[in-house]
Amino acid sequence: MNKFKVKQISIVLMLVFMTGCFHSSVLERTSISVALGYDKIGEGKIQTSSVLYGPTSKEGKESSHVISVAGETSKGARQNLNHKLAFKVVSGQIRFIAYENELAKEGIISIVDTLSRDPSYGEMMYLSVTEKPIRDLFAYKYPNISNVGTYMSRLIAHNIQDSWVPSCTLHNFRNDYYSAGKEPVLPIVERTDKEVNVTALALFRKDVMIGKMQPKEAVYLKLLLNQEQPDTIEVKMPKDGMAKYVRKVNQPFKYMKAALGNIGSKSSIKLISKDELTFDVSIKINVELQEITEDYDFAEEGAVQKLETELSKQMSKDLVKMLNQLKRLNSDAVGFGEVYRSSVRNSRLTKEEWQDMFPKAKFNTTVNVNLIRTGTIE
Amino acid sequence: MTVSNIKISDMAAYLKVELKKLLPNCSDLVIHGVNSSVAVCYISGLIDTKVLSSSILGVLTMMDEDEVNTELIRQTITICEIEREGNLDQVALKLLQGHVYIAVMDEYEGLLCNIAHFPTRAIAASENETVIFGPVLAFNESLGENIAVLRSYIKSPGLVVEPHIIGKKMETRIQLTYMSEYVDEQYIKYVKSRLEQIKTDGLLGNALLMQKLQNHPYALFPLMTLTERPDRTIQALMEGKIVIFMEGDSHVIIGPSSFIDFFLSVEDRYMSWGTGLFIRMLRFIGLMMSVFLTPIYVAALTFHYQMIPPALIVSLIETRSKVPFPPLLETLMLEMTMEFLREAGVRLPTKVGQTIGIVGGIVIGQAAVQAGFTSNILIMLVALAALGSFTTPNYLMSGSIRLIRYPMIIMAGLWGVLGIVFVAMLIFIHLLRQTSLGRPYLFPLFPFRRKDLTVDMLLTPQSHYSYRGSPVQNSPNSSENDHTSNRSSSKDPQSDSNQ
Repeated sequence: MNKFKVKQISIVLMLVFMTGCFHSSVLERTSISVALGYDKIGEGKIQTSSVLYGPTSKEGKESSHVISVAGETSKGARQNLNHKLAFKVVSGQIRFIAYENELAKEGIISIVDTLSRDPSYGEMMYLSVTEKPIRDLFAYKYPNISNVGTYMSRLIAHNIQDSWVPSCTLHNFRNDYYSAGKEPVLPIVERTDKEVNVTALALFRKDVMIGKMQPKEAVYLKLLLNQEQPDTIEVKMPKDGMAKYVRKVNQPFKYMKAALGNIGSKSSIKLISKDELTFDVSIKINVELQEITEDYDFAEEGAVQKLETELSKQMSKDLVKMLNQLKRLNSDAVGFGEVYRSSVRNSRLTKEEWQDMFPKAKFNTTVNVNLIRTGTIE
Repeated sequence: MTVSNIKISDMAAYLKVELKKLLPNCSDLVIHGVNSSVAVCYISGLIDTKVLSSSILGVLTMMDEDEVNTELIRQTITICEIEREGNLDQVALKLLQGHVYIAVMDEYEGLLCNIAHFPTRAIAASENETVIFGPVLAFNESLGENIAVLRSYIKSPGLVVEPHIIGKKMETRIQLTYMSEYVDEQYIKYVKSRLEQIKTDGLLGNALLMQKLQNHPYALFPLMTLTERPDRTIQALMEGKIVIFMEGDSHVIIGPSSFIDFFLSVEDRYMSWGTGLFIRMLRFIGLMMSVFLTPIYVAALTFHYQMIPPALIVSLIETRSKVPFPPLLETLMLEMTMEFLREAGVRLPTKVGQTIGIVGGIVIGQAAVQAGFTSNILIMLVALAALGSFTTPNYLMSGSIRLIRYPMIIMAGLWGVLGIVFVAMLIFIHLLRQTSLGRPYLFPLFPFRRKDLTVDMLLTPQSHYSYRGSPVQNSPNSSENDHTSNRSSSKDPQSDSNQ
């Protein structure tokens, strides 16, 4: 072995052994937090609740335990969290973070910001808002939910996949917060008795929650966002035009309801007039009829076409209603500002400018419903 | 030292005196006087006694003592390989190779008859490189028989068999074989120059010769293939590779070999294309598993709890909570246990060896978990990693793969995934620097040759029946493929030893 080789080997060995103590977190010697919640308790004080993996029961069912501490900042709260635990709290498995209503109304960017500064937090965790204190949601002993932390993230994920909840990851929130022409939305979760529910959407202006949107409208928001598509859409429409196709009038109601299975939809937003700020909003949607409240006679000529036009008309109306709500609250959750920014050359749009412009925007809406199947019963 | 100069009455007595001087400690030397003027000498055990008694002694005793001369004997004896020899030094050497020396009174030269019969075993099925179907034949320790087996497959005159001698004292015969129309001249030059440089008293077996030929004392991986299967050898010859046979060794050296060659079995071609391809891919997955599985376990449990899927984390915490050792120590212990089991299984006699399975499976597997020594999941991972390494068809290569796992586990325990990457990089650098007979070790991958890769990996159904990816490279500047091998083989072979 020559001198060169000795040198080489000793350099490699030095690299290995002189790197100092690499900070390790051995799995069973850490308190792994799976969900975090922030409540407002008094002026400038935050209560942080953390759901941790608890000891596993004999049947192998996972359990959780919840610890709440108070602090001035979220990092300070985490420091206090460590005082209550045998092992160091680690945050790499957190997949769900909730903010209390009261906190969200004051702005949550300072707390969101710490999340993105710490690399151990994932970008893909879900953010939510609660109406009541989160401690109550986390600490409740649910009979059918073993670990409320992991359950919440699964609940949100599945609702994003199949239902009206738009994607609400940390990444989405920060992206919307910093973009000039779009505002973030987060789902509102609540405990109702022994269950947890996604009840509505929280609309934001920058990081301040300014209003709520009900699921009925939220479906249209989701359709416009062109993300994963909601599985079903419920439409309630006046009966008058279609009355002649209804065989037996069972219910003496003026309205009939239809549940549509969404097979595929496409939405497009175009800026028509830059000066008058007019947008063309159109949704093309292929649906199958899953449920209808009346005995509708599809065999009749023109019956299906009629239903399609009525559905289109009603959905277009609902869409306008949703857009008007956004305008009224001045929260551009759809991202019309982004469309404006990308269509107008040299617009140099800022968030403040768009907030002045958005309430003046006009929308031409068209919804094109294509009824593909009416079900197997003939 | 000639016979004719000295007047003596008995040939046998004379030879006894003279040969004892040359072979003083050779008690198995037999000097047998047929009559006073003719003597026969040989080394017992090295010759075929049946031939000796029937074809030599039988003829010699029939002859008249006064009329006998070498020319007459030469014409009468029915043995093909006879030569005249007068130099007793040469005679002594030939006797050691199994010749019989017939000396006649008053003649300068005697006769050397080759009736060598070295002890060999019969040609049998291969035990170490087993296949499910295809020829089961394996080479044996006899050089002549092995070449005969080779010739029974390839009848082409293009099959070149070149004899060489290795070792000053042992004088082992080796045969360099290749297909003259397929082989790249550079490899032959390379091998010959290496063979000339080998200065040793003797090499026991082809494995040692292989190490001498590759001349990379720090090479982690085998740079040439050792096999005892004729079909593998034939395939290598048809691919234009060089095969070295050695007297007394049932294994032959095949070179140049690249890294992926070690994960291919001839059997793959015997199956249908899809199955063959699948099995080859399976081996590479097995390789990845055996190298990375346990290090990833260590890294994930020590540093990267974020990486663990939430569904797994609960059961991991549960099994790990009873284990008193850190993941690194736990894994090293279990991996070592696995190595002990394997080594013990090899060393023990076959009949006792079966108990190893019971000891390993029940005692170590079950009891270790119950005693809180290791976690269930790790036992499964270690077993999977071991299984993965068993899929490698080459024993030398699977040994190397077992070896590189340890630095990886240790570094995973110190640095996490960063450590795994670090060791993997070192191994890659090492692999890139290796050459086999002057050809880069990672050949079809680096330098990238699409055609060779398709043939080697059986990526297309057509490649199933073709042996060579690149066109024949006989002319010195025939194709671009020569480029790299040119460069590396043109330099002095000794310089590679610095790597």
